Amino acid sequence: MPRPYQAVAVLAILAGCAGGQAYPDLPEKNLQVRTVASGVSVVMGIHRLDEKCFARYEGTVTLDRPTIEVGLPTGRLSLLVFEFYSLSVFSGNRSLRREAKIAPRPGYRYEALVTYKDSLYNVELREIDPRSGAARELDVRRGC
Amino acid sequence: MKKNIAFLIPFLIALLLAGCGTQQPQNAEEFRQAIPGAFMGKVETVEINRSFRDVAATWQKRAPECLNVTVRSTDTGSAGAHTVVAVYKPTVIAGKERAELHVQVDYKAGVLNVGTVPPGGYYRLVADAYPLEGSRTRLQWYGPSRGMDVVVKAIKSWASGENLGCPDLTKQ
Repeated sequence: MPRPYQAVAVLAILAGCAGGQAYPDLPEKNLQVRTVASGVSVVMGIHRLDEKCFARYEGTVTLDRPTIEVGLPTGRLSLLVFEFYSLSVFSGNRSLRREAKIAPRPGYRYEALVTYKDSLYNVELREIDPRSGAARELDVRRGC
Repeated sequence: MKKNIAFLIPFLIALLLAGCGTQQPQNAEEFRQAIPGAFMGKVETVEINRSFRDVAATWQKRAPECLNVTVRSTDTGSAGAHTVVAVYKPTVIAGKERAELHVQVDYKAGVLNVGTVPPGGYYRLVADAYPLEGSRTRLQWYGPSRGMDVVVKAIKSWASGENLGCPDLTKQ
């Protein structure tokens, strides 16, 4: 049986507390996150990555709508941490995470497709050239 | 409780494959030979409507991305917390006549290792793909009848190209 504190913990994480402050978004939106998830809730943590690959947490965006626009700083490395949460009657709360590093370039647009279906999950990240419209798939592994 | 039983499954499978004192399979071929006679062992064969080359290429791409993971599961019950740390290791060997995908699991904590643990961990699943005529592929996998369902689903989905997602190994 799920315990009351487990439900509270999941709700707290999704609400952006418990160490998950809301991300201080930038006005210029360069990342579109499309989320298709069933049976889980998804949040995206945003961290600044320094030259030593140390991640400094900046905030969390709750992916509770099919499409969300986010403004990421350009000219530096960011780490996007996608976390999938589920609360089961039998197995309690569970979570898994997928990290994706990104270095947004000025003027470029980025798309993230986040899916969770039938216990299979995926995160795809693409960069779109504003001039040609060509899309390039980015390697989502952290790989520092 | 379902979860408590789930925690025991890796240990039970290891014990059953070990045959109460017999050696654990030390490579994929030994695993293929052990599974049909093992309690809770399962062999399944399916045909996939996709070319062998595409199946092998998808396994080579997705297995390292999705199955090189460490899963830490903690159950807090009346007897206290019990944590299992499982390190998954995939291996893909693609030849002209057969592509193999091996999944090994090395239990770093919470599971009593039985017998000699092969390098990389216990073999938990072996899947083979063979080319068929007409751009079709025969897929055969060896593994436990339960406990690796999500991995089996992923391997079949990668083979068919239906869903390239990674398996949620917290559901094991």
